[in-house]
Amino acid sequence: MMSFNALIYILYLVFFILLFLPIDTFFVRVVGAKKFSTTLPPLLLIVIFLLVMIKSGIIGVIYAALTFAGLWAFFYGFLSQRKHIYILAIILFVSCILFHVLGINKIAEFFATLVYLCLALGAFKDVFYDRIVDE
Amino acid sequence: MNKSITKFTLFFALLGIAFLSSGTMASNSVDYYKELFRSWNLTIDTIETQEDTAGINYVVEPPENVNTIGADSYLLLLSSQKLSPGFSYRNIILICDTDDLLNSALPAPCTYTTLRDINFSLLKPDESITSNILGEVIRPVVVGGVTYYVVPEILLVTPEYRLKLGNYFKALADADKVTLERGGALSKTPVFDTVDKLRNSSILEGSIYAFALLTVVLLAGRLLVLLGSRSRSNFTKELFVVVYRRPLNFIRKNFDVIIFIFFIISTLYIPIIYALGVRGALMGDSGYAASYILNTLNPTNFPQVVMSKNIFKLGFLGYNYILGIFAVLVTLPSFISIIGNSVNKFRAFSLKNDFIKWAVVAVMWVTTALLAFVEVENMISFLIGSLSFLMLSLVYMRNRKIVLVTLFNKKEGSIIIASMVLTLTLNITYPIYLNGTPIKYSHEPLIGLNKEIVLFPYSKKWGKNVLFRPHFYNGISKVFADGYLTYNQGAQKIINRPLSAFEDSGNFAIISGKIEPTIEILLRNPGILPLIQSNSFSTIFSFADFAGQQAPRIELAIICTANPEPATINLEIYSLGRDEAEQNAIITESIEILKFPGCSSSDGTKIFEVPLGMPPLHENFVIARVVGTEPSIFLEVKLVTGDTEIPLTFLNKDILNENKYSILYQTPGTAKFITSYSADVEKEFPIDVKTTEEGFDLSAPINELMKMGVLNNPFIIWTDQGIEVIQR
Repeated sequence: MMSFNALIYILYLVFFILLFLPIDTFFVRVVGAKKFSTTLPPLLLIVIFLLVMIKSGIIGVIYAALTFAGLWAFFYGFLSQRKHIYILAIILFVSCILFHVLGINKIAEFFATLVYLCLALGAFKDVFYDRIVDE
Repeated sequence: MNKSITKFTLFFALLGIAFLSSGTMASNSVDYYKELFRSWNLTIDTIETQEDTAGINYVVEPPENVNTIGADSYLLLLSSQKLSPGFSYRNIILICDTDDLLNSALPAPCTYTTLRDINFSLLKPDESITSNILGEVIRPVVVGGVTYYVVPEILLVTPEYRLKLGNYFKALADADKVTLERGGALSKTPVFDTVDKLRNSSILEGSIYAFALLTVVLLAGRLLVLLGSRSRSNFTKELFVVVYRRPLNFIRKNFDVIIFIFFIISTLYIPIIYALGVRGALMGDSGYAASYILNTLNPTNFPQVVMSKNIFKLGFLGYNYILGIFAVLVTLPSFISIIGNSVNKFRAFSLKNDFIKWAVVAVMWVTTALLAFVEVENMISFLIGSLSFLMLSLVYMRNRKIVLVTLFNKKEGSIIIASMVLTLTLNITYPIYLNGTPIKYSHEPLIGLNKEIVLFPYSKKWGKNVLFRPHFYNGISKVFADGYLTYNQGAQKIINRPLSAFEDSGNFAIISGKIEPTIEILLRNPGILPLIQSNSFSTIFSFADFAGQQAPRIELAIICTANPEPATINLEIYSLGRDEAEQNAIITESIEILKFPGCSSSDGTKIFEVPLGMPPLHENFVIARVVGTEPSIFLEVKLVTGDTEIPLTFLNKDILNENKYSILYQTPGTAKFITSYSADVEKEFPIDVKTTEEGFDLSAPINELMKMGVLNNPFIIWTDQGIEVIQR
């Protein structure tokens, strides 16, 4: 049951070794070639990714697509002007009230969640932007 | 103004009614046979008739092609339609679906099973002589200038007959085409002659290929030039222009036109929703419009929508596809500019080195630590998130020429290595620890619903390593968990045994289980059969070998009150292998017995008698079941050879219901020791019934079964009394 976990763990460990240890120095001595530190880690990640895909089937591919879309949306929002994020929150908030008044509560709830996400993103940006991004 | 509003309302009300009446096409036998003959390449018309007071049918709706009756079109009629004299059509296919020989409209003596003197129910469909006799059917009867093809219905519902008859009618369709071509040739002018010659010439064929290639070149010419170019410097840029810029520029150039068309198309939604609202109001369903739109647009319903032959539904689907294409065209330029903008932003911004180095370490550490405790299957989404983040980080570091290892000082490096050693230790030791320790169960209520009243049967869904808190029962019913008897009032000991270990002694009950294992056990242990046989009809039965007797027939009486849909009905025959090699094997054979054309409630009960291509039996007796449609539509099933009816032993119909557990047999009275048999029980499971003042703790035996891992998830707690309150 845990053998697959062990395999994934070992691959992560190798990835760690490739990333954190000066392997280029080692490979230059052994095979006389450089650039292993920039080519092997992504290859290893792809191998782990494929193994996880094999284990999870089609759902893994969907998860991967959604994760990339989610990360893209988060970083794009994070790098946008803070004013735009808050204006968007206000627009969504007004729409939310409008839909609630019209009795379409499911859409109103959906918009309320979007308002919450915009506010959370704005707050996250306000607090962490200076600590994360090098201007 | 008011008048036009009224007209407007009336128009959409009528549109709504049109939706109402457009449902799916009636699935009566005429429609079914129309489609069948059309599949044999014949042009088929039908008529709708209604019976008058004298019992004679008159035409309500004429055939589609009544004004253009050609030599190649056929009118399909059922003998039960009893047309009034005087109605004529050049070619008529008459299906005899009654046993009424006195029908004056019949051009030849014909019933459901006979044509002239031939009784098709007595013939063997697979014999070669039958093919010759079938040729008689295709030989038309001409009466008063009308050509009749008379077909007893048995030939259309018996699969083998139908296959052979289909070949004859396909040949007839081909022959019609030949006649038409010949007839056409006689009247052809030289111009048409030239066209015909050209159509069959190889020059035309070659020109079509050339034209297709030219079209491809026109569409992808620049791309071809680009791919053939040796210059690598222009390659990326030019390819980008061809693949991306040109169509985008086209959209941008014509954006006003596209948005205008999109606006016009989208306004059509208003009358559509209005019409659906009218239909919903007529049906008394306020949510009809929403459910109609969602059902039609749901991609999983696509095949049903296409096959429904409902012109409004198909039109609505097509309309939405067009609207969707225009919506994509309208939003595409903005979407692409957002993507471009985001890419520029991602390129321009720079993360602090402190953030990137610790973020990568944190993600790796959390992932590797979690791998010690959680199975990969349960953390797929987290793993994919982690891998995506690491991959993006690698891309970022490569673009910025950051070497991660150089960002850490010696102290930080030591901490990171120590933390990874810690995860390594966890990954090695935790699984060993887990294997060495007994499973820790969490406890939850057996009836977890927070409702005032809960009834048996109850479906219990459970998580991993869960047991149930005591739940006391004071009723008088027998209580089961899946196929296991857990409580019987008055009994001190209950033993659950596999049905294969059945012994006809003492006080016992037989519980239903999965169908095929149950049938297998019944074949191996025929002693059980008398206990579970039924006095009333059921679609599962056993019968003895009747080899050597006349060609067998099967008679199926179908109740039409529920408007059963057309279906292919099979007889599945189960028997034990006869010779030594097959001794332990169960042989299952499925025979297609009836192509049921459907029937409507006005038909009452319809009887289909068809020849049965019986395979040689492997044992003295077999068990068979009729499958392919709901068992409830059958009133009776008979097997007949010659004039003799083969005795069938009907078995308890509950055997066939895999969705519901039931008691197939139980000995009368109560006893201190009771044995329960089921095909679902694999290993003997005894229960000592100890009742306290509070009652019997149902959770006690269920927890034992949970530890054995034999209950389904969810499992069903049920009683022999049907519905009973378990929580008030």
